Amino acid sequence: MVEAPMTPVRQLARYGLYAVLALVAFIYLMPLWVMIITSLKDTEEIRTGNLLALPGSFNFDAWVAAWSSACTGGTCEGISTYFFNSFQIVIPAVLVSTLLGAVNGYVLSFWRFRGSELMFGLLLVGCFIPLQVMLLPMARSLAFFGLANTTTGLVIVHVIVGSGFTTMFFRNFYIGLPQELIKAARLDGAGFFFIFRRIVLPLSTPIIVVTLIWQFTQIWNDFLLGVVFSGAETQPVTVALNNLVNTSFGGKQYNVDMAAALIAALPTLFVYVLAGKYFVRGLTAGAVKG
Amino acid sequence: MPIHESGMSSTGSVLVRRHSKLVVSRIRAAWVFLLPMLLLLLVVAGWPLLRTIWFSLTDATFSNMEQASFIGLENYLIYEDGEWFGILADGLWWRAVWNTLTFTAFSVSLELVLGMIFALVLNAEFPMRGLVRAAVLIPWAIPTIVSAKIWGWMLHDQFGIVNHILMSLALIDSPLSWTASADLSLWAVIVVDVWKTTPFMALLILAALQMLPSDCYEAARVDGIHPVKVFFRVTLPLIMPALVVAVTFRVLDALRVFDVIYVLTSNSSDTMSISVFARQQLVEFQQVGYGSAASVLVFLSVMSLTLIWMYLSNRSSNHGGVK
Repeated sequence: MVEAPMTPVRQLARYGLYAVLALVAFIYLMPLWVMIITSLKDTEEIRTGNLLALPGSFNFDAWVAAWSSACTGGTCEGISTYFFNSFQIVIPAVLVSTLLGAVNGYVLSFWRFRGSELMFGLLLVGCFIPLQVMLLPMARSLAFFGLANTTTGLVIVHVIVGSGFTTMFFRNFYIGLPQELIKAARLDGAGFFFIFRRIVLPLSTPIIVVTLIWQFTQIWNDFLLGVVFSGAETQPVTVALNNLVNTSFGGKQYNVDMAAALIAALPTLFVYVLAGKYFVRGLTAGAVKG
Repeated sequence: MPIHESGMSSTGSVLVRRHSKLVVSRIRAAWVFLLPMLLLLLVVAGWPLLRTIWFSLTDATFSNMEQASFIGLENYLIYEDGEWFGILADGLWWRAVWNTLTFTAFSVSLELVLGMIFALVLNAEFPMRGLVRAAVLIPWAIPTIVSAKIWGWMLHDQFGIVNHILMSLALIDSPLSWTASADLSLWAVIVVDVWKTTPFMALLILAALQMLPSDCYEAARVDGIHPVKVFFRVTLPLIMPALVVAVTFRVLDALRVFDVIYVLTSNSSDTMSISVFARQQLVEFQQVGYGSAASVLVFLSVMSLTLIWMYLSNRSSNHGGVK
């Protein structure tokens, strides 16, 4: 498109287009802007000042309050504990579900057997089962194993819910790998696990990155499962955020609310800033396709 | 997502037919490694589903869960003393169905159109493209509860920026209560969902755009065909399979929408989706039987849509049309 020689008029049109796009991008990202500046203002300024304007003076009081003294439910210790709870849930759940997805995807694409297609179909249905269907029975199963309201219980639930998606990602990626590679290895007498570790896994970097990021986002951002399966001590940060009691003597503290929301969003933002490029690239390589 | 990739399974099936000792042992190995998944499937789908279906046929509540007795389909529909009872005769349920369908139809079509525009823009060459691609993803990346919080604040009737802007543009004369009003709240929910999910749609479409062969476009340019025509005659047909996948993905997800609605408007009947309905019956009213029946209905609708979709994509891939 760009190769065509540009007349001044076309050049001008192109800059016009950039301006329009920049405006759209600004409007689109405005909510984030509003969140950041609100968190840096004090309550008085929020009530009287312009909502889009920069704060008169940057103050991080709301951030400090959100982190260490805001009240959620009965306690007033900020969201820091819950922030770390989230990490305790996310890290094992992401790793286990990704590993399971890799093994399952490997089997479903290279070691097909009677019924493997049916199993994949069932798995896809599993991906889209409305979570409500399994809430109550799952809660009872967890209680039966003594895992109700524990971090471990929540990790297990996330692994179960997530492995449908991770399997689908890996399976769809492996389908695109040359089958000859595996056939040759089989002829040479390589075993199931050897092929997986030495041939398939080293080729999987793009899809591993996609799956890790996808699972991290899904589990960190989850709200429903957190609400249902966590106790007062073990709730993830998203649940704590919803329970934030944001009133004080002077009325609602929207700045604390926004600061807490930002803190809760930081890890996923961080992941995207750091690895978003690889996520886009990996998806382009065909993670979520037919 | 064609489930059967014709031609791909040749290795497996040939080996199965031969049944050499080695192959048998390998198939056994495959089964051993699939066992965790089978167990998961059983725990995920099978067991809870059966329990929920069973509960839906009983008069269970939280307090009498063990002594619940079988009452057949009474939770679904029953004719008694000249009146219909049960979920299928419950006005609130149909309201929730209607809300869910409206939400799904509007949010998915808006996301499709906007996502397509985003994807086309992001596919073009321009300065700082990498940065813009990452920035556009942010609304999708942050937790739904966070975006609901931001929007709850922006749509605030007193201090909200949205009312502020609309009033200074003289489009409205008094502040609107976006999340509480019966006429506006469903639209508020749709706007938030579109804002949040369009990047994902754009990403899926972008992935398809990047796999298009460039020679078609060169040919079109040599022939001097208008870009709009090229889009409708070349691009659109070529990315159609990817669009179908993306839309199905989103429809199935939108049909079970929960958190954005619950956090923004809690249990208001104006925006209640079928998932919110099921949760309210189960958790708040503790009507295990009734709530389970609602869950089963949600499940059946999603399940049948998935099956129809699998059937259709299967058929088209067998005809060699879509791959």
